[in-house]
Amino acid sequence: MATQATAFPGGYAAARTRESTAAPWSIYAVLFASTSVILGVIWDISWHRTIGRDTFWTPAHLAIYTGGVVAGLTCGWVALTTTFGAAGANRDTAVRFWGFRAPFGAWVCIWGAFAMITSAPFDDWWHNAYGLDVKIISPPHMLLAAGIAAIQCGAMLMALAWQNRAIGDRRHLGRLYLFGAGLLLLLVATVATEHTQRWGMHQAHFYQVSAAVFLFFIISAARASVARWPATTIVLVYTVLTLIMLVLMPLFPAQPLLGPIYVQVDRFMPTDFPLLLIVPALALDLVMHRVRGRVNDWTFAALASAVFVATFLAAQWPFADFLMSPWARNWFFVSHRMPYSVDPAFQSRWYLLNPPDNLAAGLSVALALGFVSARFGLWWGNWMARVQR
Amino acid sequence: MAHVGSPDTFFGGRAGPYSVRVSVRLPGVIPGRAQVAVRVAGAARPQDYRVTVRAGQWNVGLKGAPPPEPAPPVPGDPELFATELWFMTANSYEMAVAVDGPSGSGSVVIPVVALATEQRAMAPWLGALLGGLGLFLTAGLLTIIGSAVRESVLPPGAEPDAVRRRRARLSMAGMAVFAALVLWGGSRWWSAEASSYSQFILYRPFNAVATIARHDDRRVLTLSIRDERWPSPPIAASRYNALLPDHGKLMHLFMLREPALDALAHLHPVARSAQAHEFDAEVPPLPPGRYRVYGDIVHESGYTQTMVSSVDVADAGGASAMPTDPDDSWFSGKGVPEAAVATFDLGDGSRLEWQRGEGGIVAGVERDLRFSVRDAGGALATVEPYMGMAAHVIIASRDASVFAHLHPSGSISMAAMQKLTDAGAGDSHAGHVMPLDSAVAIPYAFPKAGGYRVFVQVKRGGRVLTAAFDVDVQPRAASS
Repeated sequence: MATQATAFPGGYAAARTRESTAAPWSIYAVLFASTSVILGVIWDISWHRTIGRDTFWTPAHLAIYTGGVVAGLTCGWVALTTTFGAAGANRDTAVRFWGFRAPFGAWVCIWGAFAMITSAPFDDWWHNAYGLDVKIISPPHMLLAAGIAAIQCGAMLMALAWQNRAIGDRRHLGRLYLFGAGLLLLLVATVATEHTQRWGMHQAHFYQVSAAVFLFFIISAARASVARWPATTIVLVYTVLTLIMLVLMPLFPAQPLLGPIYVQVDRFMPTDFPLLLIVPALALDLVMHRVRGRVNDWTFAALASAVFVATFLAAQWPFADFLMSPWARNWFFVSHRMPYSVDPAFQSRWYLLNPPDNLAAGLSVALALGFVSARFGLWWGNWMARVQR
Repeated sequence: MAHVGSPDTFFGGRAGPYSVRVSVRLPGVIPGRAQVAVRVAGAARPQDYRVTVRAGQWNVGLKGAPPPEPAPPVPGDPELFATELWFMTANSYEMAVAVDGPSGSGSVVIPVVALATEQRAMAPWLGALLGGLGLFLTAGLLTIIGSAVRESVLPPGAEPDAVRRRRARLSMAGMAVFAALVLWGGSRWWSAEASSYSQFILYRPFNAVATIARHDDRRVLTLSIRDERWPSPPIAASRYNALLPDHGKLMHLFMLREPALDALAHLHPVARSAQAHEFDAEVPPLPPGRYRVYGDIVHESGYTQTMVSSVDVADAGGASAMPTDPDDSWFSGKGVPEAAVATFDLGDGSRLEWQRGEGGIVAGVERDLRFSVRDAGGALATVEPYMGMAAHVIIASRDASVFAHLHPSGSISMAAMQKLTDAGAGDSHAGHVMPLDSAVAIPYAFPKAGGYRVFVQVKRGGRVLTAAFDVDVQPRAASS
């Protein structure tokens, strides 16, 4: 858990009293950037599923770039003032980078901003060489995604370091950190979408990907948190933001501008209904309450994996049936919303779950992947819990 | 009609009351934005016109097309309207051009095959820029990892000790290995994407092999399609579905003697079986030599292909030559050099004129290729329809990189056009016998500079007559 240093050298002790439990503007700025980036990504995906074609200047792209610019400029400013400014205390809570100083998370954000900038000419060339947005997952898009993830990770780490250093009531800082972690989880869930779609919710692959990907982020973020329900809080951020986008986007009219158009669409496509990660998150929080300090991290990783796979399976499996039912074809569960590009063959199996495959073996693999993911998550979380700068 | 090295579409015809010229310049890569230009003959006040274009993939048609795209007037040329059109798939499309103007509304549907024909390399400066940024990001990543291990968990103000510094260096070394692995994996991925593009998206006509076999006193040329994309039976839902007769023929095959392009055969091989894997045609009496072979086919999707092969033709050695098809034709002889007005003696007392006009032909610049047949007295003569057309024009570059087969309506496939406009069953061209005006103006842009031979085929007195012209297409930069 978060380390409390008792003796601070230099001018830090005096500065620390001023620091109090309030967060500086830069934390809010980078969390705003992180939010802007991920909402822009979700909006952009909806744009491609609704309108199809785009330009550099779509509002969705602008939201993404705004996030990059705000994070880059904020952290650049923090680096300059920390390096050259008079505030010695800030320098004490910074790490060195090529002669400059700034909080660790700020450097991660700056790296992310540069990765986003680099991806722009790379992506432009890619479009010229292989066509416009042939695939979402392409090398330049992955570089962009790495930049986005770095900005979100940096924002989370900046809030985290502040939480870890603060004295007194750290609940507000803890919430800021968990909000940053939830935004990162939202990005991860968005990137994983292709492997977590509802047609596969009765197949082992769905649970393997979920266990391998989500456990790491939930467990690591929870381990470094000072909150009582950290896993639940992180997943709530993911769930609520997804629901907000799901409800908001179809309020705006839009029409496909790219053929072939198989489905006539007149509203922005909503994002898919969020995965019921809230159930395993609650279970994980409860387990953490029960076993804290009583088992080592290896045992806890195994326990976390078992709890995650069992509870997620129990929740998502029947929910998949519900999502395919007529009861889910409404504004809230949005199962009936098809992108314009869904061809007649896919339309005919839109409400059909892929049949279960070899679940006994497949879920065993999911458990093993979950264990590895949770163990790495604990290792990462333990480090995050000690981050001071 | 499919072409080689000439993927753009050119059309000349009518959109209701308006005479229009339409060009669709493909972006080279698909998905991409094509440049569409519509010239409305006689338009003097562009503000009185509203021109739109829209394109639907063959299997969904205009019902599944995006809304019409307005083509605004091009300043400085009152007849010209232009816009960009997105093509998402390398496939066959129907493109509707609608003109609304002082004479009312008119529209025409044109087949367009959206092909990806280019594989672009990265400019050295961009490679250097991206390489530099990549190095910068990698170095930054290593530094971040070093900072994480060395300082991030230290209490404020504390300095890292030797152990932490050493651990930081080790972590950076480990990260360097990891980053190298990521870059290596990324490079492999990139190569796989490039390979997938060239295999599935880049235009690649069916593999085909031409051979000539002697059967007693006959010589038969066989073009065999050997391609994994041409199974039996064809896949109905794909662009490579069953073949569609063009001018009543499943294949138009052209033989061109290398290197002088001084002999041409325009044949119509017959499919040996319903699977259409082998096409046979009697070899006409051509001078011996090596010939380029081009086989044009049209699928029911409207997708056109030109298969490319080559074959050695030996001396006839007493072989007979009974044409496989009554519309088969052949020619050997010299070409007439280009001129403002170049004339080719057709040998029946008439001559074929190419009114190129003043100024040479420039690569990439669209202009009408104007041909007409004059009788001995210089008067405009009529021609008989040759497979329904007043003229067939074959364009071949000397370096073998360009081959195109044009008609008076442009570069489009007439079979695909008929299919789109639902002009009735069968091939209405084949049966026409009414004399036609021999003056034709075919919109076209030579795709690249260099030497070309242009063959023009017309039918008179029941015989197919071929004229040949040589043209030197100038590079675009030299003209401006």
